[in-house]
Amino acid sequence: MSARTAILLNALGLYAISLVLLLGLVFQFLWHELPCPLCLLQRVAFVTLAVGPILNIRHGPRPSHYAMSLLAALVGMMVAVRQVMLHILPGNPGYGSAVAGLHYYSWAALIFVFAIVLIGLVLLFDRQFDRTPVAPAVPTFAALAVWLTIIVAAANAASTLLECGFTWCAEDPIRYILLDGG
Amino acid sequence: MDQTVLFFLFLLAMLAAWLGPRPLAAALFGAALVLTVADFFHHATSALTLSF
Repeated sequence: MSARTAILLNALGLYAISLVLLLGLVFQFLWHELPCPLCLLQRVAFVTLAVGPILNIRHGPRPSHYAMSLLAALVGMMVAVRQVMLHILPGNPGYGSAVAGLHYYSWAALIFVFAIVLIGLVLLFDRQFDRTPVAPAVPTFAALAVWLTIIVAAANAASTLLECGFTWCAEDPIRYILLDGG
Repeated sequence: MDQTVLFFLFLLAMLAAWLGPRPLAAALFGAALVLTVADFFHHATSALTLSF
Protein backbone atom coordinates (compact mmCIF):
# COMPACT_ATOMS: atom_id res chain seq x y z
CA MET A 1 0.00 0.00 0.00
CA SER A 2 1.47 3.35 -1.03
CA ALA A 3 1.43 6.46 1.17
CA ARG A 4 -1.17 7.97 -1.15
CA THR A 5 -3.54 5.01 -0.73
CA ALA A 6 -3.02 5.14 3.03
CA ILE A 7 -3.89 8.86 3.03
CA LEU A 8 -7.10 8.16 1.11
CA LEU A 9 -8.01 5.41 3.61
CA ASN A 10 -7.33 7.82 6.49
CA ALA A 11 -9.61 10.38 4.82
CA LEU A 12 -12.34 7.74 4.53
CA GLY A 13 -11.87 7.07 8.24
CA LEU A 14 -12.39 10.76 8.98
CA TYR A 15 -15.61 10.79 6.94
CA ALA A 16 -16.80 7.76 8.94
CA ILE A 17 -15.99 9.48 12.26
CA SER A 18 -17.79 12.64 11.11
CA LEU A 19 -20.84 10.60 10.15
CA VAL A 20 -20.99 8.90 13.57
CA LEU A 21 -20.66 12.25 15.37
CA LEU A 22 -23.22 13.89 13.08
CA LEU A 23 -25.73 11.08 13.62
CA GLY A 24 -25.30 11.48 17.38
CA LEU A 25 -26.12 15.19 17.07
CA VAL A 26 -29.08 14.58 14.71
CA PHE A 27 -30.66 12.01 17.06
CA GLN A 28 -30.01 14.31 20.00
CA PHE A 29 -31.97 17.19 18.46
CA LEU A 30 -34.60 15.15 16.55
CA TRP A 31 -35.58 13.00 19.52
CA HIS A 32 -34.77 15.61 22.20
CA GLU A 33 -32.53 13.10 24.00
CA LEU A 34 -29.62 14.72 25.77
CA PRO A 35 -26.39 12.70 26.03
CA CYS A 36 -25.31 11.57 29.52
CA PRO A 37 -21.69 12.09 30.72
CA LEU A 38 -20.58 8.63 29.51
CA CYS A 39 -22.33 9.24 26.15
CA LEU A 40 -20.43 12.53 25.85
CA LEU A 41 -17.15 10.78 26.70
CA GLN A 42 -17.77 8.34 23.85
CA ARG A 43 -18.23 11.30 21.50
CA VAL A 44 -15.00 12.77 22.86
CA ALA A 45 -13.31 9.43 22.09
CA PHE A 46 -14.56 9.58 18.49
CA VAL A 47 -13.01 13.05 18.19
CA THR A 48 -9.82 11.64 19.77
CA LEU A 49 -9.79 8.94 17.11
CA ALA A 50 -9.59 11.64 14.42
CA VAL A 51 -6.24 13.14 15.49
CA GLY A 52 -4.11 10.26 14.14
CA PRO A 53 -5.66 10.31 10.63
CA ILE A 54 -5.27 14.10 10.44
CA LEU A 55 -1.55 13.74 11.25
CA ASN A 56 -1.26 10.95 8.65
CA ILE A 57 -2.85 13.14 6.00
CA ARG A 58 -0.83 16.26 6.85
CA HIS A 59 2.60 14.77 7.65
CA GLY A 60 2.44 11.40 5.91
CA PRO A 61 1.65 7.99 7.45
CA ARG A 62 3.69 7.03 10.53
CA PRO A 63 3.28 4.13 12.97
CA SER A 64 3.11 6.62 15.88
CA HIS A 65 0.01 8.26 14.34
CA TYR A 66 -1.72 4.88 14.14
CA ALA A 67 -0.64 4.20 17.74
CA MET A 68 -2.45 7.38 18.81
CA SER A 69 -5.61 6.13 17.08
CA LEU A 70 -5.27 2.73 18.73
CA LEU A 71 -5.03 4.33 22.18
CA ALA A 72 -8.04 6.53 21.40
CA ALA A 73 -10.11 3.55 20.24
CA LEU A 74 -9.11 1.61 23.36
CA VAL A 75 -10.28 4.45 25.64
CA GLY A 76 -13.52 4.78 23.65
CA MET A 77 -14.18 1.05 23.87
CA MET A 78 -13.54 1.13 27.63
CA VAL A 79 -16.15 3.88 28.11
CA ALA A 80 -18.71 2.27 25.79
CA VAL A 81 -18.35 -1.19 27.37
CA ARG A 82 -18.75 0.38 30.82
CA GLN A 83 -22.08 1.85 29.73
CA VAL A 84 -23.18 -1.41 28.11
CA MET A 85 -22.47 -3.11 31.44
CA LEU A 86 -24.60 -0.56 33.31
CA HIS A 87 -27.63 -1.53 31.22
CA ILE A 88 -26.96 -5.21 30.63
CA LEU A 89 -29.42 -6.65 33.16
CA PRO A 90 -32.59 -8.17 31.63
CA GLY A 91 -35.49 -5.72 31.77
CA ASN A 92 -33.24 -2.65 31.82
CA PRO A 93 -34.57 -0.30 29.13
CA GLY A 94 -31.13 1.21 28.53
CA TYR A 95 -30.34 4.90 28.09
CA GLY A 96 -32.04 6.73 25.23
CA SER A 97 -33.64 5.28 22.13
CA ALA A 98 -32.26 2.37 20.16
CA VAL A 99 -31.01 2.89 16.61
CA ALA A 100 -31.47 -0.17 14.37
CA GLY A 101 -31.96 -2.32 17.45
CA LEU A 102 -28.91 -1.16 19.40
CA HIS A 103 -28.33 1.81 21.69
CA TYR A 104 -25.74 4.44 20.76
CA TYR A 105 -23.25 3.05 23.32
CA SER A 106 -23.60 -0.50 21.96
CA TRP A 107 -22.92 0.80 18.45
CA ALA A 108 -20.01 2.80 19.84
CA ALA A 109 -18.47 -0.32 21.46
CA LEU A 110 -18.74 -2.21 18.16
CA ILE A 111 -17.33 0.69 16.13
CA PHE A 112 -14.34 1.12 18.48
CA VAL A 113 -13.56 -2.63 18.23
CA PHE A 114 -13.92 -2.39 14.44
CA ALA A 115 -11.55 0.60 14.42
CA ILE A 116 -8.93 -1.34 16.40
CA VAL A 117 -9.12 -4.25 13.94
CA LEU A 118 -9.00 -1.89 10.95
CA ILE A 119 -5.97 0.04 12.27
CA GLY A 120 -4.20 -3.28 12.94
CA LEU A 121 -4.85 -4.37 9.36
CA VAL A 122 -3.63 -1.06 7.86
CA LEU A 123 -0.45 -1.30 9.98
CA LEU A 124 0.42 -4.55 8.20
CA PHE A 125 1.37 -2.61 5.06
CA ASP A 126 4.92 -1.30 5.50
CA ARG A 127 5.41 0.46 2.17
CA GLN A 128 3.19 3.35 3.24
CA PHE A 129 5.91 4.33 5.74
CA ASP A 130 8.66 4.69 3.10
CA ARG A 131 9.94 8.25 3.44
CA THR A 132 10.07 10.40 0.33
CA PRO A 133 12.16 13.61 0.07
CA VAL A 134 9.06 15.67 -0.63
CA ALA A 135 5.87 15.20 1.40
CA PRO A 136 2.96 14.12 -0.87
CA ALA A 137 0.43 16.83 -1.70
CA VAL A 138 -2.81 16.57 0.27
CA PRO A 139 -5.74 15.61 -2.00
CA THR A 140 -8.81 17.86 -1.81
CA PHE A 141 -10.90 14.84 -0.78
CA ALA A 142 -8.68 14.42 2.30
CA ALA A 143 -8.51 18.14 3.12
CA LEU A 144 -12.32 18.30 3.06
CA ALA A 145 -12.48 15.30 5.39
CA VAL A 146 -10.21 17.07 7.88
CA TRP A 147 -12.25 20.29 7.91
CA LEU A 148 -15.56 18.40 8.09
CA THR A 149 -14.30 16.51 11.15
CA ILE A 150 -13.09 19.71 12.82
CA ILE A 151 -16.45 21.43 12.18
CA VAL A 152 -18.47 18.46 13.49
CA ALA A 153 -16.22 18.24 16.56
CA ALA A 154 -16.74 21.98 17.17
CA ALA A 155 -20.52 21.51 16.89
CA ASN A 156 -20.32 18.77 19.52
CA ALA A 157 -18.27 21.04 21.77
CA ALA A 158 -20.88 23.81 21.41
CA SER A 159 -23.76 21.44 22.09
CA THR A 160 -22.01 20.11 25.20
CA LEU A 161 -21.39 23.64 26.43
CA LEU A 162 -25.10 24.43 25.98
CA GLU A 163 -26.11 21.25 27.79
CA CYS A 164 -23.73 21.36 30.73
CA GLY A 165 -22.85 25.04 31.04
CA PHE A 166 -19.98 25.65 33.42
CA THR A 167 -20.83 22.90 35.92
CA TRP A 168 -20.54 19.09 35.95
CA CYS A 169 -22.91 17.54 33.39
CA ALA A 170 -26.05 16.01 34.93
CA GLU A 171 -26.07 12.18 35.16
CA ASP A 172 -29.52 12.13 33.56
CA PRO A 173 -29.79 15.45 31.69
CA ILE A 174 -33.24 16.74 30.68
CA ARG A 175 -32.47 20.34 29.62
CA TYR A 176 -29.83 22.60 28.13
CA ILE A 177 -28.56 24.54 31.14
CA LEU A 178 -27.31 27.56 29.18
CA LEU A 179 -30.54 27.83 27.13
CA ASP A 180 -32.70 27.74 30.27
CA GLY A 181 -30.70 30.51 31.91
CA GLY A 182 -28.81 28.18 34.30
CA MET B 1 -18.08 21.20 31.71
CA ASP B 2 -15.45 18.46 31.88
CA GLN B 3 -16.44 17.04 28.50
CA THR B 4 -16.61 20.54 27.00
CA VAL B 5 -13.00 21.12 28.06
CA LEU B 6 -11.99 17.76 26.55
CA PHE B 7 -13.75 18.59 23.28
CA PHE B 8 -11.90 21.91 23.06
CA LEU B 9 -8.55 20.30 23.93
CA PHE B 10 -8.95 17.72 21.16
CA LEU B 11 -10.13 20.46 18.80
CA LEU B 12 -6.86 22.26 19.53
CA ALA B 13 -4.96 18.98 18.95
CA MET B 14 -6.70 18.55 15.58
CA LEU B 15 -5.95 22.13 14.55
CA ALA B 16 -2.32 21.70 15.64
CA ALA B 17 -2.14 18.42 13.68
CA TRP B 18 -3.39 20.19 10.56
CA LEU B 19 -1.86 23.66 10.84
CA GLY B 20 0.94 23.41 13.38
CA PRO B 21 3.98 21.30 14.27
CA ARG B 22 3.65 17.57 14.98
CA PRO B 23 5.14 17.71 18.51
CA LEU B 24 2.54 20.26 19.62
CA ALA B 25 -0.30 18.09 18.28
CA ALA B 26 1.17 15.01 19.97
CA ALA B 27 1.60 16.84 23.29
CA LEU B 28 -1.97 18.17 23.23
CA PHE B 29 -3.27 14.74 22.27
CA GLY B 30 -1.36 13.04 25.10
CA ALA B 31 -2.46 15.55 27.74
CA ALA B 32 -6.10 15.42 26.62
CA LEU B 33 -6.11 11.61 26.50
CA VAL B 34 -4.82 11.38 30.08
CA LEU B 35 -7.53 13.84 31.17
CA THR B 36 -10.16 11.78 29.30
CA VAL B 37 -9.15 8.63 31.18
CA ALA B 38 -9.18 10.57 34.47
CA ASP B 39 -12.67 11.92 33.66
CA PHE B 40 -13.82 8.39 32.79
CA PHE B 41 -12.64 7.09 36.17
CA HIS B 42 -14.49 9.96 37.85
CA HIS B 43 -17.75 8.95 36.13
CA ALA B 44 -17.11 5.21 36.35
CA THR B 45 -17.01 5.36 40.12
CA SER B 46 -20.31 7.23 40.47
CA ALA B 47 -23.68 5.51 40.15
CA LEU B 48 -25.69 6.33 37.05
CA THR B 49 -29.04 7.34 38.53
CA LEU B 50 -31.64 7.14 35.81
CA SER B 51 -35.09 8.66 36.08
CA PHE B 52 -37.02 5.77 34.48
